[in-house]
Amino acid sequence: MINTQPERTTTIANPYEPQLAVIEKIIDETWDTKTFRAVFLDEAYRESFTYEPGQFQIVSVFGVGEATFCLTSTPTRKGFVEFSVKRVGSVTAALHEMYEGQIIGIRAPLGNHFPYEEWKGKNLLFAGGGIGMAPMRSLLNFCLDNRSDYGEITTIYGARTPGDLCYKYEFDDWNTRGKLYLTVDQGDDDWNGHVGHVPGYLRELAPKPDNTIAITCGPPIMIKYILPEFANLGFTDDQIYTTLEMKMKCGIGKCGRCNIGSKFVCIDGPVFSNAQIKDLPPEF
Amino acid sequence: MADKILAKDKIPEFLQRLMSKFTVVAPMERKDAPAEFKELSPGDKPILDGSRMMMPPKDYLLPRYEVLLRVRQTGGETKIESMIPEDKPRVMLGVWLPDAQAIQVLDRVFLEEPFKDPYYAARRENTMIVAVIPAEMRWSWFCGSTDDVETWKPNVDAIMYDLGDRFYVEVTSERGESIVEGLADPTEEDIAAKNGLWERFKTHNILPFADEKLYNRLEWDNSVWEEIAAKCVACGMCSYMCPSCSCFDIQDEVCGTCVERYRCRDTCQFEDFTLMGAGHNPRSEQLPRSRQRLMHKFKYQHEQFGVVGCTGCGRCVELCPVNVDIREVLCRVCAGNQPEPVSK
Ligand SMILES: Cc1cc2nc3c(=O)[nH]c(=O)nc-3n(C[C@H](O)[C@H](O)[C@H](O)COP(=O)(O)OP(=O)(O)OC[C@H]3O[C@@H](n4cnc5c(N)ncnc54)[C@H](O)[C@@H]3O)c2cc1C
Ligand code: SF4
Ligand code: SF4
Ligand code: FES
Repeated sequence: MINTQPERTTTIANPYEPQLAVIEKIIDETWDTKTFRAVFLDEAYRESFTYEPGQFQIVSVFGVGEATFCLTSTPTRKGFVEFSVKRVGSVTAALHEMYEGQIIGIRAPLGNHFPYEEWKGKNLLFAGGGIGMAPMRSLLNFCLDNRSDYGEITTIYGARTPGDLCYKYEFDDWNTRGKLYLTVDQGDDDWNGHVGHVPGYLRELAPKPDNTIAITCGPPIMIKYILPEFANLGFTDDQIYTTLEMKMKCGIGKCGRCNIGSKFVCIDGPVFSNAQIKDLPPEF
Repeated sequence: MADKILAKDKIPEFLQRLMSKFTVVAPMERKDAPAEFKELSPGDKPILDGSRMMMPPKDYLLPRYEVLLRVRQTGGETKIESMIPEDKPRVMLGVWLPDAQAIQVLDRVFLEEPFKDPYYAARRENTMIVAVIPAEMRWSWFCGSTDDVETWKPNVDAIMYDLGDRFYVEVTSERGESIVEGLADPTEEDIAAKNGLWERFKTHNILPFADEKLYNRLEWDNSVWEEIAAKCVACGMCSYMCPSCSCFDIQDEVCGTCVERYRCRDTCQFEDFTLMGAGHNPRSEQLPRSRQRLMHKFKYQHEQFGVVGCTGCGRCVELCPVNVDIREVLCRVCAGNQPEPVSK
């Protein structure tokens, strides 16, 4: 008798299969960016779904493909997920063409998250540029919703022009429960705020590094110039956190695309401290 | 575990017996194309002697093209069907031992937590692997230079050594016992012949870098990257045919009212592999791409999983259209700047 020994009985969930969700609300943020609010169709899934600030999702437009977006909403506000989409290619364009009530697919939550548990009792300093505000908005609103856990919560947010600033409808809140400093590269007739790049504004404001964690996200060029500014202010590498962006497909450490050295941005990231980043090959 | 002898003229009965219990997967000749691993039907005559397989066994476990999901949108309703293959007891026969070791690399990528790949798992977890050591060595192999090949043995269920008119079947796992049931016992002479063949395999093409811990020697800055990059035409052949390269792309295809989401091979050798929005590309030139392939196999995968991502199968050596020879590259990495002569 041949023994057909090896048996495997456990069924595994399919991490490639998205959950269906309906687009509940679309907000026009800027000329090229929209924020989508989506609600999972399956009630049980919707009830049990939870995530952490800093995690991301992979959104399907069936027939066009998948694209990766940060969860920009906060898990303190339940029942939906939000993501902001800058129009750059096929999936992002297809999303921009969609309207409320249409069905998309979502694989979430993916990736690691900001270690906010370790930051209790500390001051938080957010410095974001452009679409980089998307991942930080989740953490910012999360910390504001847990206001008593943290010290000062300060945000410096910049964009090319006033018209490129996202989330304007939340500025009042960010400046009430925390402190908000806005800047644009180029003002217009109505703009009487600060003009200049985020790194320069940071130098002017000169926040103290004591008992403070800095979180910074933005285009690669902004990150490049802002890190030396933080260093000059006395921030050490393990006081600075950012999210890395690499091209992604699977989001689960299989397809090989987001590989940097022996790390994968999709499972070991996207959140890294500057100290961790310095251990990676310079390839992002 | 008792070793056995399988006379080659007894293969049809052997296959018949296996096929009554397992789905048997083995290399089959194709018309006008290289042989390929296939599920056998009764009467099939697979190539079991390991006379070198061009198409790696990964093509069966991780098909070159595979539909992951089928999505139907009709009457305002969306339905997703996962196309996970059937999980049934399988035996893969005729897997050249280095290719079997390459499956170990795939296992690390696709079966390790936090996410298990259900498509790969369904084909792999219930599959025994019977490796083969062919009678003749090929010039391009350098297996013993990449790793201690003795450590590969326990990773398969049995090994068939080609001794001409018979196979010596070494059983290397408990479940492997079920494969050899009913076969004859080996003689002293058989054992000596098997040991001789193993020794030839083990010592074949031991190159100057064999004793080096390559993962310590591969440096980010090395003039050799520039030289490969200058020759490489980014055809992707080296990764597509490599038994352990597994990177893939995922795309949607619309077929009438149905959407098929499929995956297919991809490679770090292509420029758009890492090309992002607004044109940013962390590996925009061939040099970092050439470096990535080698560093990933010999350093990053070793850091991540403790295994080396190259088993010295020689496919990329033979198939590269511009003769980028990975053996030469590794010699250069370890020995400064003089190209080492390697047997051709
Ligand atoms: C962890 C992470 C978080 C992200 N968060 C956001 C976010 O909150 N908001 C947002 O607007 N964008 C975000 N992105 C970028 C977003 O994923 C891409 O812009 C999107 O996938 C492009 O898809 P597409 O089909 O429209 O583009 P395609 O038609 O596929 O390509 C258009 C261009 O975009 C590039 N591209 C394709 N995929 C990616 C990718 N994953 N990342 C970057 N460029 C890509 C292509 O190479 C090409 O140059 C994030 C990316 C990552 C990895
Ligand atoms: S020799 Fe080339 S094709 Fe073979 S395992 Fe090594 S890298 Fe892959
Ligand atoms: S086979 Fe040769 S030319 Fe083709 S991508 Fe590989 S190294 Fe470059
Ligand atoms: S996105 Fe596939 S490995 Fe990270």
